[in-house]
Amino acid sequence: MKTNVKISGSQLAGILFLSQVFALLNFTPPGNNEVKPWLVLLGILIGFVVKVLFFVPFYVLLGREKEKNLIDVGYHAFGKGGVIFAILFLVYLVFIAGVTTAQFTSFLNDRLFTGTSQLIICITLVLAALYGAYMGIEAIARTASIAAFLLILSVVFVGVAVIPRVEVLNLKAFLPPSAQELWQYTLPFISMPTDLLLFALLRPQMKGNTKKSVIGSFALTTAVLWVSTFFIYTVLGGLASRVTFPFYTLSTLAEVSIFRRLDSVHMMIWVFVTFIRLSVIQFCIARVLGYMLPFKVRRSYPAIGAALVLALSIWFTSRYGIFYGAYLFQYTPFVMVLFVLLIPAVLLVGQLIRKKGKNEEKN
Amino acid sequence: MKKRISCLLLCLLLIWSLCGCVKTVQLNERAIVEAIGIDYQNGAYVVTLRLLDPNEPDAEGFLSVSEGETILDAIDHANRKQGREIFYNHNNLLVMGQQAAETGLTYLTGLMDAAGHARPNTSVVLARGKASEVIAVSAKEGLSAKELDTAIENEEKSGAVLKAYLIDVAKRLNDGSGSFLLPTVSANEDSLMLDGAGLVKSGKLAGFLNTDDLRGYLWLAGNLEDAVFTANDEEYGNFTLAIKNSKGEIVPTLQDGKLGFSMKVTVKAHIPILKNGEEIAQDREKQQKLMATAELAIQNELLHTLDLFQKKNADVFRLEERLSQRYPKEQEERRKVEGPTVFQLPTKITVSVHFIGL
Repeated sequence: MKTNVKISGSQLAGILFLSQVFALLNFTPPGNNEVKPWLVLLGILIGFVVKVLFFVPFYVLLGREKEKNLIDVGYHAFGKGGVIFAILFLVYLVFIAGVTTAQFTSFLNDRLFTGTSQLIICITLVLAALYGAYMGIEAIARTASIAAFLLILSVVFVGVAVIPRVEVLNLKAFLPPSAQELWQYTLPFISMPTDLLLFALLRPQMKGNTKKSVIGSFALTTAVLWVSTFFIYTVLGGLASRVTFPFYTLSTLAEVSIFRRLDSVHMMIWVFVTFIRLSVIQFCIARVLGYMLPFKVRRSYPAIGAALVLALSIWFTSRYGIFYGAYLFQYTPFVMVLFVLLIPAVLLVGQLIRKKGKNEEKN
Repeated sequence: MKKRISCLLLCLLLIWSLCGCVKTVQLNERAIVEAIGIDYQNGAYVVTLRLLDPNEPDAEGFLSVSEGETILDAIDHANRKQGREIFYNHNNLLVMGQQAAETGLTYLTGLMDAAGHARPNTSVVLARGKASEVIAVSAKEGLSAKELDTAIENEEKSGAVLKAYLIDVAKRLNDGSGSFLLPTVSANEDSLMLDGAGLVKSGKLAGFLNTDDLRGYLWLAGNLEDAVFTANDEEYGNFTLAIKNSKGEIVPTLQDGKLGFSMKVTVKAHIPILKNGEEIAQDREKQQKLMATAELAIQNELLHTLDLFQKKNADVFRLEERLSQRYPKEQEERRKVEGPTVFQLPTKITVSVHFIGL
C-alpha cells in the first residue's frame, strides 16, 4: 500500500464529496407522516452551515499539522492512551463500510438484478475496494475525480430530463418551522460525519489548502443534494417518501429525445461512487490498523480490514432487521456527538494541557 | 515479488465475479412482455400478457391469460404457465379493464414497487370494457404497444385524449383527493378507438368523460397543440379554429378575506376561414367578433367540465392543494368551518383567444 504519496486539495474534495453524496442513493426524505418539502430543502442548507461549524475544531487540530492525522494528535496528547481513538475510528469505519456494502448490495438486489447472490456482490465489492486500497490514495483520488465528474453530469442530465414533470404544487406551503422541526429536518444531513472523519485521517496525505478543499466538498455535496431533493419532491410529490430509492425512481423517468432508459447507466455511475467510497474507507481502515498491529504485517493491513468489512456486510445482508437498525443508527446524533464534538473537544483539551505542561517545564 | 503475486491473485479473484451473479437466460428462453391487461371478473383478477416471440420479433406475438386472487397472484400464475422466463422490463403499456378500475386502482402502486413488473414510465390506459379485448385487438392488428403509446401522445396534443404514466397514477393515488383522469380506449372487432377519459376518484373509476368534456379539462390542465375547435356564431355560423397552442393557469386568490380562484386560458389560433369560404384576415371587426364567440364557447366548455367535476366532487385540478400552498392559514380556517366546497368558491374565468396570421 502506497502511503507516502500526497494528493491535492481538489482531489481530496472529490473523495470527500463522493463519500458523502453516496447518501443520495438511498436517500429517503425525513417526515414519514406529513411531508414538508420546504423543510427538507431548508434542512440541507442549514446542514451545510452546521457542518462548516463542525469543521472548525478539526481545522484547529489539524489545519497546521501537515504530517499528523487525528489519531496522531491523540497519541501526541495522551501517549499510549491514544489507542482508544484508533479503536473508535476502526469500529466506526468498519461499521460504515459494512453498512455501505450491505446497502449497495440490497439496492442491486432489490432494483437492478433481482435474484442475484448477495454474497457474491458483497465479496466483489469488498475485493474491488481492497484492490483500490492497495493501489493507494493517489490512484483512488484520480478515479474519484472522474467519478465525481460523471456523477455531476448524471445528476444534471436527470434534472434537465425531468423538468417537464416538475409540479411546483408538490412543494406545498412554506410555514415557519418550530425549533424542533428544524432539528428533525437538519439532523439527517449532519449526523453522518464520514467526510469529516476521512479528512481527519487523510490529512497527512494531502497538500494544499485544507479549508478550501473541505468546505468546497461540503458546498458541492450540499448543491447536489439540494438539486436532487428539489427534483425528487417536485416530480414524485408525496410518493418520494414511499418509494425505497427515490433518486433511482427519478432516473427511470429521465428521458431526453433518443436518450431513454438510462437508469442502468446512471446506476453504473453509482457503482463507481460506491467503489470509491469503499476504497477510501478501506484505505483508512488499513491506516488505523497500523496503530494496533505489528509493523511486520503492514502489507496485510488492507486485507485484514477488508476481511472485517466483508464479515460485517455478509452478516448485515443475511439479517435484514439488524441491517435496518444499523442503517438507522448511522443517522442518530450519537455518532455525530461522539466523533464531531466529543473527540475533538477531548483532543483540544489534551493538547492544551500538554502545551501548558511543556511551558511549565520550560519555566 | 510478493506484492505482484498478491495483485495477480486479487485480479484472478475479481475475474471470478465477471461471469455474473445471476443464471444465464438465453433470448429464446425468454417471454418478453409488451403489454399487460388487467381485468376483474367473477371475484378474480385476470391478467392478459401480450408476449413477443424473440424468434420472430416482427410477428404479432402471442397472448398469455392467467387468473389470481390479486394482480400479483395472477402475474405469478402467468409466470408458472409459461415455459419461458417472463421478462417485464420492456413492457410499454398497462391496460386496465373497466370492472378492474371500478374495483379500485390502488394496487397499481404496488405493481410499480414490486420488482420489475412495471416501470414508472409505463403508459396506463383504461379500457371501456375488457382490457383483454384491447390487448387482443392490438395484437391482431399488429399494433405494437409502443405505437399505441405514440398514438396517445399525439392525440393528447389535439385534445382527444390525455396521456398518463404509471408514476402519475401512483402519485395521484397517494394524494389526498386521489382524483385524476386516465385515457380511455375502446376495442371494436378490428380496431381500437382512443376517446375521452375515465374519471378516477378515491382510487376507483367514477365515470367517463367524452372528448368535449376532456377538452374542457385540457384547456386548463394541458397544453393543446395543433388541435381544432369548432364554435358557432349566430351571424357567421360554424367556424373552426386551428389551435396553434393553448395554455391554462389556475391561481388561488384572496379577496376581502374570501378565498377563490382565477382561471386563465390563453389560446393562439390561426384566423378561421368561415363556412362560406370567406377569409377574414383583413377584417379586424369580424375577427374580434369571432374571437369573442370562441372565447365564450371555450368558457362554456370549461364551465361544463367544472360543473361535471363538482357533481362528482372530484378535485381533479388539485384545487384544495393549491389553496393550501398559497394561503395555508386561510385554507385551514376554511376547512375548520366546513363552508362551501372548493368548487363553490368564487372563480373568475378569463379566456383570451389570439388570432395569428395564416
